[in-house]
Amino acid sequence: MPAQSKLRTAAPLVALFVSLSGAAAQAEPACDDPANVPNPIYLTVGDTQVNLMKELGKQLRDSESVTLIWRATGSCTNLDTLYGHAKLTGNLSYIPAGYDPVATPTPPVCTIAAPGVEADIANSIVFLEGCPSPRPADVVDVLGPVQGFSFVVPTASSQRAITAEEAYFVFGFGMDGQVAPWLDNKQLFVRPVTKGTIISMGASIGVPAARWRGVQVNLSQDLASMLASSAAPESAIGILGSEVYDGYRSTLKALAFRAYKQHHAYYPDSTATSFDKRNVRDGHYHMWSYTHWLLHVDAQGRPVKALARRVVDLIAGNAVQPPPAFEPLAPPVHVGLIPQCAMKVQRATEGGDFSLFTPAEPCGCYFEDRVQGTQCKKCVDSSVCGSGFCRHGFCEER
Amino acid sequence: MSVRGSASCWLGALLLLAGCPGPGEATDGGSSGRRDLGATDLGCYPSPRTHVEILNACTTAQAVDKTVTLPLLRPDGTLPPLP
Repeated sequence: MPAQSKLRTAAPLVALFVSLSGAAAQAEPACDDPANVPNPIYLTVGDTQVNLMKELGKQLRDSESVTLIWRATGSCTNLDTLYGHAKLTGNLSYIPAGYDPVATPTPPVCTIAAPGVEADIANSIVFLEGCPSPRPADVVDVLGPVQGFSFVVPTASSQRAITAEEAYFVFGFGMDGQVAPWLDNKQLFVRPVTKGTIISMGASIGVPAARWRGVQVNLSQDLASMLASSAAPESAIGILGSEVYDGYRSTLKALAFRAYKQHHAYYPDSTATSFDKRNVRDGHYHMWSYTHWLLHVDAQGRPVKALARRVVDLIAGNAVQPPPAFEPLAPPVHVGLIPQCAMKVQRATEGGDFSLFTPAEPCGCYFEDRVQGTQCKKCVDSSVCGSGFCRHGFCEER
Repeated sequence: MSVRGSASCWLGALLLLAGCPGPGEATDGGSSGRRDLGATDLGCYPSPRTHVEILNACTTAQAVDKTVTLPLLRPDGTLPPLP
């Protein structure tokens, strides 16, 4: 059949497809429809936080009829959006009624028409100083759970560890760094300079985000797929949030990391196959940062949107009134983040030195129970905890 | 490269048997400003307080030792500036 005939024959089908596509697009619910999307909270978050949005969003939708609606992009972009009162428009992800994150890993989208709506909450996965714009006085920064970062390679790679010095040469010099087997710039899968992952890991190895060599990949999920399917697995290496990597362990493996001045390399977890994040918690693993959750406040420091403050406090593990009907630590722990109350070390700057940390109300027992099991005593109140306290169902020393 | 469970020194009672130093006694290749690039066991800290001690605290976690080859490293062991 001549080409033109083929086109004519296909034309009605194309028209039908276009029509159906348009109908599908129009069928997306409006984000500002209170019947379908009640009590909306608009967020602009890092793509490493999408799993948290799904887990927490389900709990909030089911128990409080609050709907999380978000856009996933880079930390610095998120901050600029909130700082500048920029409007979110177009398709945004949201949590519908009855959402099941297992059955529907990719949440549905709703649409917001121009001129759009301002974000209630912005997220950064790095210290704010890692991004160029200064924080305005009417924006508060609430520290949230800790997120680890990992150098990752395809499972076919024989590599098991990388040192900070090696990473400095690999990503700061590219193939000119002469660090085998990472000698091909096309096999270095990195992130754009606005992404928290590259900013934080860059701070740990001494290579600013703008100086990294390699192929910039916009989305973590795409990076994971590209790395896993590399035709040269031995020379391929990439960067991911550790909790994102946890979802790709069948095709990727994290490298143990030896920081400057450290004697051995360690995984974020106590072993290559565990999920306990023990080395992040106790300071044996260097590459981590706090998630930051920001929102606008008025001249008196009160949140412009009280519901947004409640959501931020739930993420951060702060007390809220009324208490939620769900365990607020469960969503972050389930997605691989570490509540601050489970940390034993702290830092004050991106990639900065550690110091010992003693949480005011520790939750290490709860965290360990969820990720590996714990020897801590279970409790419903502090009467069975001796001089300690019952927190999140377990006796803690404080 | 060898992978090892570094369970050598995590309980105070085992310190002498394991050859671990006491608090503040661990040798620290990093504090001198030179990079530790070998696989030599430089000890661990049972009661860490500083950043370097925390990084090298005694642990039962799986440790990975790696001997690296860095042709561009300066003769004094420091890193050259980024290009």
